[in-house]
Amino acid sequence: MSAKTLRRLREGALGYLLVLPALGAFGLFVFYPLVKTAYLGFFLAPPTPNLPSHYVGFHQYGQVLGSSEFVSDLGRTAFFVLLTVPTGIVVGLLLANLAHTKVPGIRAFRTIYSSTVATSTAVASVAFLTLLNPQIGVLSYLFGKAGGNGVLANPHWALPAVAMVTVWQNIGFTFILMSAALQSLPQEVLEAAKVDGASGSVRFRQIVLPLLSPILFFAAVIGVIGGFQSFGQIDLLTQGGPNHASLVLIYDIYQQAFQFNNPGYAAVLSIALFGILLVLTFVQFFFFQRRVSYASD
Amino acid sequence: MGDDDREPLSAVGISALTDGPAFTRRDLLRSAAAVGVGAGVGLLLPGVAEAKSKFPIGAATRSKSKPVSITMWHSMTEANLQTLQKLTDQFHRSQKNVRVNLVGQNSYTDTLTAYTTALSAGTSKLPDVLQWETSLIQLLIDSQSVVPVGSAVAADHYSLGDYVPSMLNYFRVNGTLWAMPFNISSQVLYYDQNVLVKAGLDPTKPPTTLNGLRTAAKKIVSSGAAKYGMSLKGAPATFELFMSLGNKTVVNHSNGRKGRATAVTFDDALGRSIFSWWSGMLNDKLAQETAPTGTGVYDNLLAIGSGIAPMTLDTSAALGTILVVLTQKQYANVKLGVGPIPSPGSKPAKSGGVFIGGAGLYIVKKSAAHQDAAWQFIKFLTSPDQQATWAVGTGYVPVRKASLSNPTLSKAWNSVPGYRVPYQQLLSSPVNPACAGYVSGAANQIDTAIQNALAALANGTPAKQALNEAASAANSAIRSYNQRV
Amino acid sequence: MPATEASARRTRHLRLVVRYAVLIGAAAIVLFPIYITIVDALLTPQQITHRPPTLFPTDPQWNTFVTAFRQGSLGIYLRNSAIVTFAVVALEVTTSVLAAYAFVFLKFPARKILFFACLATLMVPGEATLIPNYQTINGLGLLNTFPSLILPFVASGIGIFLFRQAFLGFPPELRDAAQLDGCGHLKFLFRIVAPINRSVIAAFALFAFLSAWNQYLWPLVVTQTDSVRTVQIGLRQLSGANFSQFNVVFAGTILAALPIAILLLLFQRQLVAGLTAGAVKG
Repeated sequence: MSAKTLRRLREGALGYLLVLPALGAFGLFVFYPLVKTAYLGFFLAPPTPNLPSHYVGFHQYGQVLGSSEFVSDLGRTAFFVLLTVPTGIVVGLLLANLAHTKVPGIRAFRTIYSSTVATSTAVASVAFLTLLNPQIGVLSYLFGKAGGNGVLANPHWALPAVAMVTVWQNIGFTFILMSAALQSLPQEVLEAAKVDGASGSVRFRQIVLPLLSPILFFAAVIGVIGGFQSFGQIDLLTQGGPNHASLVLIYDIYQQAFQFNNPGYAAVLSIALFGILLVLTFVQFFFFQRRVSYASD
Repeated sequence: MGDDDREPLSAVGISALTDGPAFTRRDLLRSAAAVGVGAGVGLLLPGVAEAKSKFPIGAATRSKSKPVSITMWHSMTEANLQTLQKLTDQFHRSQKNVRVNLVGQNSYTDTLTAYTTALSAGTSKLPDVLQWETSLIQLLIDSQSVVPVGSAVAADHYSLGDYVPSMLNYFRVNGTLWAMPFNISSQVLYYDQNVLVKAGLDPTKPPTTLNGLRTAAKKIVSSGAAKYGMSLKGAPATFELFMSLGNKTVVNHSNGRKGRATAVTFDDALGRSIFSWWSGMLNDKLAQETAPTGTGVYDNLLAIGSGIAPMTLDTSAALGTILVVLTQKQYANVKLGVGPIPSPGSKPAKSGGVFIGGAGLYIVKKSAAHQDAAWQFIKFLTSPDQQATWAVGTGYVPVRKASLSNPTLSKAWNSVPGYRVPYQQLLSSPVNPACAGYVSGAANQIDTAIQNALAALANGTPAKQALNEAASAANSAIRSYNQRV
Repeated sequence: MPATEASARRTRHLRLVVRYAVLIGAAAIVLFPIYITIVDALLTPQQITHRPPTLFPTDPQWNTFVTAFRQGSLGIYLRNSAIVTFAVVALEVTTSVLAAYAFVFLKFPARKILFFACLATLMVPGEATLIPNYQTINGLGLLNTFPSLILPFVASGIGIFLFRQAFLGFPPELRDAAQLDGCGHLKFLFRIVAPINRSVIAAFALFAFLSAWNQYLWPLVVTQTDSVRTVQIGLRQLSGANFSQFNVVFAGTILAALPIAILLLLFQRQLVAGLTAGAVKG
C-alpha cells in the first residue's frame, strides 16, 4: 500500500468521522422517524400503548385523507397562511421602507420595529390571550368588544385573531429581513432613478420591488412553511376551537396523537403535512424561479 | 401581595353569602329525597363481580420490606395540594407500614399524557395510586392496568354504607366498582341576589327549572337590572347534567354501564328541547355565551361581578375562588347566592338527578404489597374525618355522610351555606344509569363534539342542526374508538 | 429666489415632521402590546379587571415580578431553558462545523450524497417525526429529562449548509500551505478555518439560540414536571393560573422575553446577520 493510498484512506476515515455526529443524529431523529411515521399509518392504534395494534394496510390512509375533516383542516390551514403571509410581508416591507432613511434617531425606531424578535410564540400568545380577554383585556375594551365572549371564542374571528397575533410576533423578523434587503440594493440604481425624476411610489413599484423579489420569495416560502407549522399560538389562544374554527392540520395531529390517543390517525396526517410542505416548497421554488429577478444578474 | 390584603375583604364575601337563606328550601326538598334513596343503597351494591378476583388484603402488612413505599399521581395545586399533603402526613403518623410519595401532574390532561406514556414503558413507571378525572374512566378500564377498587372492598369486607350513593354509582361499570370517589364537585347556579331583587325576583327562590331560568332572565333584562339574564358557559358537562336531570342517558347501553356504548342517545327529544332552550336564551339576548376553555373559563363568574350577567352555572369547586374574588372592593355590591342546578322543562323530572365532577382514586396493577398499600391509603383518604378536612381545605364535597357531623366541617358550612348545595343535590340523586353519568372510551371526543355544538349555537346555528352534528361527530368517534380497543 | 428657498425649506420641514409622525405612529402600534403587558404586570389584580382600563401604573407593584419568579416557578423554567438552549447551540455548532469541514476539505466516497441528505432534512418538518421521536425518547427512558429536550436537536441542516457555503470561500492555496507546514486537519480547522469564519459561526449560533429558546411543541410533549419544563411551556402553565393572578401572568411573560430582549440589544448586528443569512445567500 502506497503512502498516498494510506493518506487517502485516512482522509476518508476522518471525513466519515466528522460527518458521523450530524448524520447519526439525522438518522435517528429525522430519517428513521419519518419512515416510522409512514409505517404507523398502516396500523389502527389502540387507545393505550400497552395494548396490541391492528394492521389495516392503506385503509387508514384512505379513510383519513378522504374524510371531510381532513379537507376542512386543510382549508383552515390555507386560510391561516393566506391571512398571515401576505399581511406579514406587506407590514414588514412598509416598516422597512419607512425606516430606510437617514434622519436623527432612526436607530431607535429600527430597534423598536425589530423588537418583537425578542418575543417567542408563547410570550406573544400569552400576552395577547389576556389582552384579548373579553372581561379584562385592554384590546377587547378598546375595540368595543367588552363583555360577551370575545374574539377568540367567536367562530368567525378566532382564526383571524390568531393570525393577527402571529403577524405581530413576526413583525420583527420580517422587518429585519426586509431592511437588510433594502440596504443590499445597489444604491446607484436608486440614485439614477431619482435623477431621472421617478417619483417615490413609482420608484418603489418599478425598481425596488423587482429588485426585492428574491427576498420576497424567500419570505413567502418561510412564511408558508411557518404557517403550516404554527402550533403554539393555536394551543395557547384557542386550542383549535371554537367549534373547530381554528383547527389547523398541525393542531389536529397533536390532538389525535396526544389527547385522543390515536397515533395511527395522527401519523397519516403527519405524512400528509410532510407531503404538502414538500410539494409547496418545490412548486413555489420553480414558480418563483422563473419570475424573480436576481439583483446580481 | 400579602395575606393581610385579603383578610378583611374575605369577611365581606362570607357575610354576603350568609345573608341569603337561598338554600334552605331546596335543601329540605333534597334531603327528603335523600333519605329515601339512602335506605335502598345497601341492596344496590353488587358483590358478584367484585368477589371474583382475589385482592391481596394484608400484603403490605405482611411484606418483609417495610415500610412499603408507594407513589400517588395527583393533579392538585395550591390549597388543594397543601390539604392533600396534610392528609398524607396524617396517614404517615397513623401507621408505620406504608409511605406515600405524592407526585403532582398539574392537570388531568397532563396526568392522562403521563400515564399513557408510562404504560408503554411497562408497569415500573406507573404510580400505585392514581387520581384520574371522572369522565376518562372507560379509557382507564380499557387499559387493563388498574385493579377494581371493588375487589379490595370485597376482600376487606369493607362497608360502603356511609359513602354518598350517587358518587359510588359513577364509578360502577358493569356492576364493578372501579374507583373510590375522592375530590368531588357538582355544578350549581351562582347568582347575584341584589340584581334579582332589582328585577323584582325573590332572591331566596332562584329558578329551579330551565323554563324558570328563562323567565327570570327575561325579567332581569326587561327591568334593566342587567344587560343579560345570565352567562351560559358552553361546557359539555352542563348539557350532560341537564340530560341526567331529565333522567335521560347520553349514550346507549344504559350510558355505557351495561355494555360498551356504541352510539349516543343525547339527540332525543330531551336533547332537542335543551338545545332549543340554549339557543333561544342566546338568540333572544337573555344570555351571553362565555368560553369553556382558556382564560375565558372565568368570564361567566367575572360577569356576575361586573353586573353584566348576574346568573351562571358552574362547578361548585369554583366557590372558594369566587369568594376570594368577590372580596375585592369593586365587587362590594354583589351578594352571592348559590342554588341547585335547574332541571330541564317546567318541573324537575321524577327520577332525575346529577352526576359528579372531579376525580376518583384508582389502584394500579402492581405487586401485591403495593396494591394493598394503595388500598390502605385510599381507605384513609376517604374516611369521614379526612373527607371533612379535605372538604374544608379545598371546597370539594365530602364523599362520606358521616363527614357532616365533623365539627370543623359543620362550622365552615354554617358560615358559608353555599357549600351545602352541591352536597345536597348529589346526596338526593337517585342511583340509576341516567344519573350515573355516561362512560365511553371516546369521552374526550364526545365532550368535544358537544362543546363544539354549543359553540355553534352561540354562532346562530339552528338547534336541531347543531345537535345532529354533535351526534354524528360523537358517533364516529365512538365507532373509531371501539374499532381500536 | 429667497422666497422659493424658504418655501423649499418649509416643505422639507413639513416632510420631516410627517415622516416622524408616521415613524412614531408605527412604533406605537408595534410597541402597544408590549407596553400594556408591562403596565398590567405592574397593576394590582383589581386594577387590571377595572373598567375603563388603567393605562399607566400610578403605584407600580414591582414585587409581582418576584412573585412570578418564585411562585410561578419561573426561575426554574428560565434555568431549564438556559441549560437546554446552551447545550443545543453548542452541539449544533460543533456538529455543523465538523460536518461542513468534512464536506469542503476532505474527500471520501458518497460525499455529495451525504451532503444532499443533510440538506434534505430541511424538508422534513419536526411535526412529521413527532410521534416516533416521542416513542424513541420514551423507549430510551429519557422522557422528562434534559437529554430528551436536547438530543433531537444536536444537528442542523441549516448550520451545515451555511458553514459549507462559508468554508467554500476559503482559498485552497491557504489549505495547501498549511498542509505543507505540517498542520493536520483538526488543527487547521480549529486554528484557522473556524476563527476566520467566526462571524458566520456567531450569526448561526444566535439563530440557533433563538430557535432553541423558542421551541414549543417538542418540550410540551416530552416534559411532565416543572423540574425540566422550559420557559415557553412554563408560560403555558402560568396562563392557566387563577384569574385573581393575571398580573403574575403578565409579569411572567415579561420575564420570559427578557433574556432574548437583552441578547437582541447586545448582539443586534450578529442577530440580524443570523436571521438574514439564509435569505441574503439564497
